[in-house]
Amino acid sequence: MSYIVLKNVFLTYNPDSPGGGIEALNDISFEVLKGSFTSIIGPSGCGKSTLLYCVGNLLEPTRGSIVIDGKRPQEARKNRMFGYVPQDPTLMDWKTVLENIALPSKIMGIRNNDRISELIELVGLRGFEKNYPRDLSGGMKQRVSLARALSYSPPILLMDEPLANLDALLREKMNEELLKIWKETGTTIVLITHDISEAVLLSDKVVILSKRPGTIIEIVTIDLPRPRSRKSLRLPEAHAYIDRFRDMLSV
Amino acid sequence: MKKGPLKYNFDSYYPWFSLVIFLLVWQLAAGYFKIPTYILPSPLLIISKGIEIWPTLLHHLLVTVNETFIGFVIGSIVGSFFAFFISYFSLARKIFLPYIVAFQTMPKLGLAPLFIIWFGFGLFTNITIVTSISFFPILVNFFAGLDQFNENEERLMASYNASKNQIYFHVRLFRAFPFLFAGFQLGIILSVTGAIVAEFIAGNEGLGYLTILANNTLETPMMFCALLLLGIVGFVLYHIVDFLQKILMPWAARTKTLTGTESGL
Repeated sequence: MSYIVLKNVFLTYNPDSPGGGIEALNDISFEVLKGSFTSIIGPSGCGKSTLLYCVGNLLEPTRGSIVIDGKRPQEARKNRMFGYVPQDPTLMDWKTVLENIALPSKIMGIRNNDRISELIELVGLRGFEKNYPRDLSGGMKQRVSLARALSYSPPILLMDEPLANLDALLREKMNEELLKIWKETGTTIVLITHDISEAVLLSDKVVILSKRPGTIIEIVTIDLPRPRSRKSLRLPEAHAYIDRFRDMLSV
Repeated sequence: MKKGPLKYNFDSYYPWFSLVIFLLVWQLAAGYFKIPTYILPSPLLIISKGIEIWPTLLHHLLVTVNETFIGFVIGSIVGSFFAFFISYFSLARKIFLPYIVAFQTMPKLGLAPLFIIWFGFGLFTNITIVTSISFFPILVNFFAGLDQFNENEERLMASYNASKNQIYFHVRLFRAFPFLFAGFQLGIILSVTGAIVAEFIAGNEGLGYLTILANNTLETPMMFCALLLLGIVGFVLYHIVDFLQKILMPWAARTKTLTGTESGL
């Protein structure tokens, strides 16, 4: 059953400007199944982030319709259905690690959130609860950001290249962690990445966007057995997907 | 300045060496060239004068500190609240912001004679002058801080469906803190200036008044004493503000202020 449906979505920045504005998205249509993992890949500047903002109602499309679980994106956002993991971790410098992770709960009025303590354990930040972001490395900040998004158990996770700043090993570990979290929570995940093998490893479906203005080149279903781990990438089928995507994007 | 774990390195003694040498040269030159004391008294003479009239100096010092402090506190409270008010309410911003921009460049000390006409001579007038001069830098800085727009933070807060109140009290207020303190630092220095000028023109007490009195009677050593104390007052008050900032903003390792200076913790 389709959980997120995009139909003919267009977005132009500053459409009223003399040059006609900047066209970021051009006729984007795809569907996301409930509980599935979808990745969006494409060259940088192709409108991947813009697309994610549109889904999360952080930006209004110029044209087209988006439906989230039968609701308008605005309603979905008001019902706090989105866990947004931004590209920049965007931690509040004036809050400790614990306070940062607890920020959404505080805003949403969720009291005594037991999940927070579990999440600190899960993302490996036990012992850093009282530190300020200035004490953390880039990777640790990303993990705080992820824990913060998971803290209120949103049904949909919107992730904007959240692992971009991690080193390769930590990234692999976080990817497996992400698969585990995804399996445990049944969250519907939409991930933006420019890492092709990451997309193949994680996703049920990969949406490939072209250069600006972003149009869909192809939507590919990744037919690799689950559960997956980094070893899944050694399968010949996985290689076939990776090669195919690389060819599409290098045009 | 060097930064590192060794906080008190040798470099920090250089200013003290040069100070001692400067005072020594001054002392010797004053004696050797027989400079009249009403033009340039020697350091030792200034110190002995200071000890001699210490009770008087202390009295005037306390008057000036009192005016500066009360005026600054009122200016800070009014300035901060007004900044918040015009930042939070867009209608208030539309109404008041043009006036603030217009008044910002006006020399507020020019209003001092007007205050004397309105409020007469005395403490109240002097505090009003201090308040009026410290109010603006605090207002303008804090407003600029509150008005910063961090796209990432606003987007994140929007994804939580946070209210305007929540955005202000979890994000914007904190983001504006360094700006507020930059305003306080400018404000406290201007407050001391304001207090002295107020005493110049409308005082019968205070270090500014004492300076004018010394001027009229050519009591230059006393004038030096008063000026030295004024310098110390400004220095101490400025560093109290700096200290408060470090206490109240433990998350900030280094904070850039509007004036471009860096205050390291």
